[in-house]
Amino acid sequence: MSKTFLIFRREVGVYFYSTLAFSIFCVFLASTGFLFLQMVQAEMGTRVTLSTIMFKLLFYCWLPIIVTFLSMQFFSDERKSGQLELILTLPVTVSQLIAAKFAAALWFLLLIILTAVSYVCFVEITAGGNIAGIITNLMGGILFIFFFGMFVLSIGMFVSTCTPNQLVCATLTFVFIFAFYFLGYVIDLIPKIPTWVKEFLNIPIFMNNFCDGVIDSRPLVFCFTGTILFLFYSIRVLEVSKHR
Amino acid sequence: MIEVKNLTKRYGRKVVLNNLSFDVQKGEVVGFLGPNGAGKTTTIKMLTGFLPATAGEIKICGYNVCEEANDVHKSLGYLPENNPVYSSMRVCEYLKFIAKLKGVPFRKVGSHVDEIIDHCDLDNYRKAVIKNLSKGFRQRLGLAVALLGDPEVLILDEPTAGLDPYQVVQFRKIIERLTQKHAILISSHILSEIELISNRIVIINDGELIVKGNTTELLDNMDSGGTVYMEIRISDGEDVKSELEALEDIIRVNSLDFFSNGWIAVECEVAHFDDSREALFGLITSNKWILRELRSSRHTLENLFLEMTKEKNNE
Repeated sequence: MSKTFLIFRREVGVYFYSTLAFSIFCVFLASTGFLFLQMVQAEMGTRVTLSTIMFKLLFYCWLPIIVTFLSMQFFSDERKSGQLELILTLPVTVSQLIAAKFAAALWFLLLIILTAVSYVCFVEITAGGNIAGIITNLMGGILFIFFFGMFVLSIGMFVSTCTPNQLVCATLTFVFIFAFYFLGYVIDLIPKIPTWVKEFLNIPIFMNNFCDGVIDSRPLVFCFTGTILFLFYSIRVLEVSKHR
Repeated sequence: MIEVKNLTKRYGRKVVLNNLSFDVQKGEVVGFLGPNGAGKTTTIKMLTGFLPATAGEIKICGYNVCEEANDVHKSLGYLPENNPVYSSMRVCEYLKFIAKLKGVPFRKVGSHVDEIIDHCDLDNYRKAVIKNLSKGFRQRLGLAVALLGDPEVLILDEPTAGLDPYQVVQFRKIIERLTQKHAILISSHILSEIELISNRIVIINDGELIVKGNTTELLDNMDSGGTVYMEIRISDGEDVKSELEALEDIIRVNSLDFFSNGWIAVECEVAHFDDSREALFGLITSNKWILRELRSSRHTLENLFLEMTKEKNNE
């Protein structure tokens, strides 16, 4: 059995051994349900779809919080307890370790996204909507949230390899995520930057387009390459810090 | 099995370890000793490949630690200082996880883990959650982890730290059982344990090698053969100290305590461990002193350690 898969399984187990996963899920399901209801009532009569409301809620509210929590779990605690030393003196490479931890966190994030999406499905189906149409609407949003979540998780992973302090890790990850949210608005204020660059870095606009079913490959490529880059940096940082 | 040649570690300008060389052969237990901050844990971290050396070479089972880390890790069982474990897992589940990571074939994992559990006397705790284990059983679990995959080399950093005397004895028995099949390097502050377990010792201080060699030979080659303690009663006005020091075999009188009724407790350092009591008894009878206790003790590893590290500290 692949060592990456073994570590992945253990990491997934860790989320559910501890109360972390359960508490995140409880808080998440309760508050998402409440906020979703409030937002649906507020947008009643407008042309905004249910899936757009849910993805905005996920994108602006839950993604930064969950990714920050997950980032705190990556390496900070293992460094402090010495478990990192133990695992890195086994026949396991740093890349295998990073890949397994990242995959486990991504799996958890996907579970969260799918749970949130189930609200929309439930409301749409009970309202007698067209299932094919609902799935088409949801796919764009899921795709974007998943890719963007993957990207910000890789940033969290990178930050976690840089600092043994969980609080610093959480703060920096949160700041990095919000920097991407506001990057588009900040760049918009600088006149000399070409329009295509401004469009490219305006992440919230891409989010809206995906929710409307407009699938644009540019942000997906951006998030994917960004993820690879930050994972590569994480591997290098861990190898260098191991060899310091 | 373990070959360390001219190992040096620097952090910036600070030299933590300077030109250290030693080796450990199969079937040997080598005690790795030194005061706090001597560089023991740094050396061990370099041996396991967790830290790189600034200069020098480390080979484990013929594999270079820097260049062939994966092969080194397959041949190495390591118990780190604080014995980090995944405390939320169960004993058996944790051992199976590590066994798989160590490359034990999937079909053999169960039987191999059973064998190790049996070897480390963990049978009654195989389903226990690790965080509920006592310190002693956690250490056993750490040793079990080190033994998984049947590595040829074992490196144990402070394996008996924090254990009660009963657990220490049990731990020693486990180590004794392992001696024939493995090359074992143990770092510890409990010198009496090292003396009992190890064939050879390596003592370092301030990152420098102080002494290495066979434990018995090193103790035999110390300045004195041991100490003799006696309790005698003398007549008033007799100079016991000068009479004792006049004996050829006596190096020095370490202590002289006067009790009531003329009894004196004397501790002397003697040149030869075996011969000194006869000469002392001769002196006692010729002076018509009354003797109620005479016993000799060999130098221990503690004496050797203190002498060696004191010399370095006084330089």
